[in-house]
Amino acid sequence: MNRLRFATRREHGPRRPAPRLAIWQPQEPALWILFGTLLVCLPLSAQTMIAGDAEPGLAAVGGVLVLAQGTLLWLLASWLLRARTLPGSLRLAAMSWGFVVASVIAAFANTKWFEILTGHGFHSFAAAIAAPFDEDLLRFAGILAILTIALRTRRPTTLNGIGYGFLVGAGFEISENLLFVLSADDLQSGTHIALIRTGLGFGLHAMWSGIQGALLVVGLTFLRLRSVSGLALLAAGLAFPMVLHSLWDAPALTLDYRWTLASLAMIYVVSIGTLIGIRAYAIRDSHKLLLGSLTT
Amino acid sequence: MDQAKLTRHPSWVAGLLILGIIGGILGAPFLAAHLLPAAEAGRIGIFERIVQTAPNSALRGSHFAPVGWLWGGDPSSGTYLSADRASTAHITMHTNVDDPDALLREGLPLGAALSPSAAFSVRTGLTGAAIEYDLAAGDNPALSATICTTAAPFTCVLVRANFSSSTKAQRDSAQQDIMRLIPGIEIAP
Repeated sequence: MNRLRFATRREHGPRRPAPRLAIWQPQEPALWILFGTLLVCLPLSAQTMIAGDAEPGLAAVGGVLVLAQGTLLWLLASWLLRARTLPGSLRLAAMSWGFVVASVIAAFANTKWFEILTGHGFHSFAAAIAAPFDEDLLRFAGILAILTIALRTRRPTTLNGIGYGFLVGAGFEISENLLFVLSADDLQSGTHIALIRTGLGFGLHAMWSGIQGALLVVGLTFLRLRSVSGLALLAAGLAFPMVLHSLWDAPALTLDYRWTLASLAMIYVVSIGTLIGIRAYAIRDSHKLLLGSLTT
Repeated sequence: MDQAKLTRHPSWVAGLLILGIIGGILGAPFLAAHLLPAAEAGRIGIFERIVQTAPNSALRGSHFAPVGWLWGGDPSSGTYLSADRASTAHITMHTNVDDPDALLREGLPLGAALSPSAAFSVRTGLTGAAIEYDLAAGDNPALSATICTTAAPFTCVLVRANFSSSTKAQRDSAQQDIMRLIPGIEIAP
């Protein structure tokens, strides 16, 4: 055994230090915040999912939903946003923030806001006010954490920003949908929820976070050059997805479901259109950076 | 790109911002609960849509519950009490109605039932009619209104309200609250 190990080492020459994971940036406060919040929120997230004591059928529906939506979102992230080029540890961290940290903190804060808003006559608007405020801000914080860590090894491009943002939002979306399914009354309603959450508004949280990620990268870049434009872009990165989210969660103006579906479709199209537009800008931006690095 | 410059120092600002966002989100509801006045239980809020259904009907009726009033029971019952509990409103859905005018007058005091009704325009595909009456010489105005589909057998939403508050201002205000919700009544699949 020892001879074999000795021979292998000689064959490959002196042992090289293992490449450090991209996430391992111990000097960066964002890393410790990420680890700390994950450590606190992970048991809470597990408890929330187990506490419902869902029947095995519902748990199976939830499992299928996680697999199906996870695969679809991952394919979209890989294909459209080239997420495969991002370091694996940072991709995992981005999804974990969305799946665990953002969903646990948002669930707690949303519940509190719902109580307050309902008590003060805003029951119908509680979701439209509380959810964008809590969820989009938390996702923004997660993207900022990942980008701050990523910045230590490589300057993230706008496309990277969309990718990290999309993954944070995807993690959140899967977690939220899973919780909805697990808290259903029975298998039939759980299946109904899973289908509705896949067919109507699928990927919206991921797209909104993708927009946030892109504007965060561009905003931080501009902030280094011209502070006002940078701040405006950062504010837009926060506000624009919040507005779309708020409109999506707003109560229907009429009982006529055709009008409701049309307005939801409009928000969906605007979200997709914005993401595609930003992606086109990001790819052009990446090409410019590449050309710049080749000519210098 | 000045990579070295970018990566030399830890980003304390970003770290503090992330912590600030998390702290703000966790703390804001508690701060709001502390600063806002205590809410009154059972008070109807803004834009509270009540959807009513009837068995064997593909149509649904909806209206907005009067803001600032109190729930008079289960929200789907369509029963409301004014804040001083002196005025009441009851909104119900009726299907397979043969005669909307008979529904409008059903159960009204004889003097009111014989009064002419006033037609008013509502959403496309619906007709409205109302009788306002007061059998106590200004102290107890009441309203009966129907919003119905235009083709028989009719589907209607019936609004019945009594405004019995002690002062005229309160009665007028309660009446205005109910009049305001009538244009928002819908009957749709």
